[in-house]
Amino acid sequence: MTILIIAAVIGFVMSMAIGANDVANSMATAVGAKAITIKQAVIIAALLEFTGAFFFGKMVTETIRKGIVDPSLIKEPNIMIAGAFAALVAAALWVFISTFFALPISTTHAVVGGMTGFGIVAVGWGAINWGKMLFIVSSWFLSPLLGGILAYLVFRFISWAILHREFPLTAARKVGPFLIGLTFFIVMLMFFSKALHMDINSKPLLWSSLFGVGVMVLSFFILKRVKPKNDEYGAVERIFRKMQVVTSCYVSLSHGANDVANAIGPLAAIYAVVTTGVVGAQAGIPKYLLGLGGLGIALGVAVLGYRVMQTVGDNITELNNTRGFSIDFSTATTVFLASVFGLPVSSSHTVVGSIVGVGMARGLEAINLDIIKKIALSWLLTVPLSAVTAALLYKLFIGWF
Amino acid sequence: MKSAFFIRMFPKETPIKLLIEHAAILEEISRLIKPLIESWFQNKDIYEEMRFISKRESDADEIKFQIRKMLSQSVRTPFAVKDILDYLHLQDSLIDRFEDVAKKLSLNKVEGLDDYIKEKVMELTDQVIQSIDYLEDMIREVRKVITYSFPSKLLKKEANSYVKIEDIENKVDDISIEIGKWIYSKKKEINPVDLIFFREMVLILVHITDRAENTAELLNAFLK
Repeated sequence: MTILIIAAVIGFVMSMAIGANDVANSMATAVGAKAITIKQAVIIAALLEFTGAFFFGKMVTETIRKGIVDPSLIKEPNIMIAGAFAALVAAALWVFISTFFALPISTTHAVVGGMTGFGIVAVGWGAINWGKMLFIVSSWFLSPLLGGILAYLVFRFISWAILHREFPLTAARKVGPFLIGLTFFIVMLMFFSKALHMDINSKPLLWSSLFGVGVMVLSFFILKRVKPKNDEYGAVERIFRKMQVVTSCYVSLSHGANDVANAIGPLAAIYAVVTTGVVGAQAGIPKYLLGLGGLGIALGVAVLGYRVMQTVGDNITELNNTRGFSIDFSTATTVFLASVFGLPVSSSHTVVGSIVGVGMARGLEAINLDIIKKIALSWLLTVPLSAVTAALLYKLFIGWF
Repeated sequence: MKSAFFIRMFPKETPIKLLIEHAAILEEISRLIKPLIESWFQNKDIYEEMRFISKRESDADEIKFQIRKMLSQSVRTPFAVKDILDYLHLQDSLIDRFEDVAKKLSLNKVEGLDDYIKEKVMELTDQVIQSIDYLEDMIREVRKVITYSFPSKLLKKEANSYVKIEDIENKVDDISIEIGKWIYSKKKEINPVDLIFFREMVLILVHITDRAENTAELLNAFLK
């Protein structure tokens, strides 16, 4: 039981670090585009990160818990406890290293690497579910790519349907509600599927569509009131400023859903063994563990998020809301889809993919592509290094348990 | 903190912003050239004015190096790196030409310039300043063009500014022919060295408008 409490404390601290580190992923573009204030960003992120983790975090947490290392091959409970604990500590170490040196290291990659390292050392290469690993690793390449393609298409669509029109404001009043409706449709569909555990058939589709259409109609009347002050383009940006508040919430929600697993996945593995006394038991993940992770992320956002957002807001070039919307929408949709498939993807890297996508669509005044080299390097290094760290820690911990 | 990579990805200073700052110096210098020429006509000492223009030229050079450094550090804009560097080179050479005028005027005084030619030179200078104004407007508008995703409305506006510079260039050609005729009509009255000096000074002003037109043409081409 003591080990469970210690693991819970480490998991909680790690989820706080994830919240503090990653709040920029969901809110940087919104704050940079002056869609919301820093205070609003912190409050919204804290609430939505918790909601995402609590309602939608189960699938990815299950993948970390039992998708990488096959629990049926581990005979002794103490091996699983020591291993999951080693993976958790290794990932936590990487979070702090990345925080200290401001490296774009993904905690997702660190925790997956940690679980893999312990699996190989404890049981052997055969303990790793390589098919699943291949799926996860390919998602790391696919998620920034998908985010980028989606962002490119969304921004191109906004340019074509609104900015290139003779009367951009009139066009924005028509197209804006459609985009907001679509966002709500996706969120509701995920809610029915993941939070209410309904199969995606005609019923959730119908309800999600109705909700999306309802929001679309409502936003149509809200956006109708936006009047041009100096120029029409300015009014279009004001419309997207309102819309970006919605997509920032969407990113926070999807981030909570995907990244809670990085802190809670190994903890859930320890919990399952401690409470059942055996490895591989079909114990579910209790809601309160996801709640603990969600609370940690929210607290991390609340305590350190203000400083992070202030730094971002003061130091980046001012972004337009049409760009912010495209980046947020694409990132959130990609991360959310990954969460549905139980794939632990890096939300930070997906944001970068989306930013590059908008840049490719000639949407950004300047982007520094140097960061992409660093990300590629972090991909090559994080998994093996965290795997080795977890393996060494496992060797240390196994003697204690 | 991961916020650090957002800061790195979206640099506060952008090449376009710096190009606009660079163009603002060009415009400032172009406006200084008129009182400088007036003072020269009145045989006043223009050393301080010339020094100030040289100082601003150095400031523009610093911006130029900053832009080059940014582009070599993987900072990308919606335009090809080569286009930006070519544009920067042309815009910077305009500043250099104005500095050349200031330095040249500080070297020599020319006796025998009548009111007619002084008026013509001032007319030429006004046209040169006007062409730089249009060019500065064009580069300033580039941010808007990017912000609103290259809408045809704004691209047409940019193309119109280019046409205006082209018109100025035609006017400048006409003025320069009149000045040329005057110069050769004075070959027996004014010291030939002074006439050559004066002709060279006028030619630099004419070349500024030519180059402003080329610069605007390049800008117009890479916006499409």
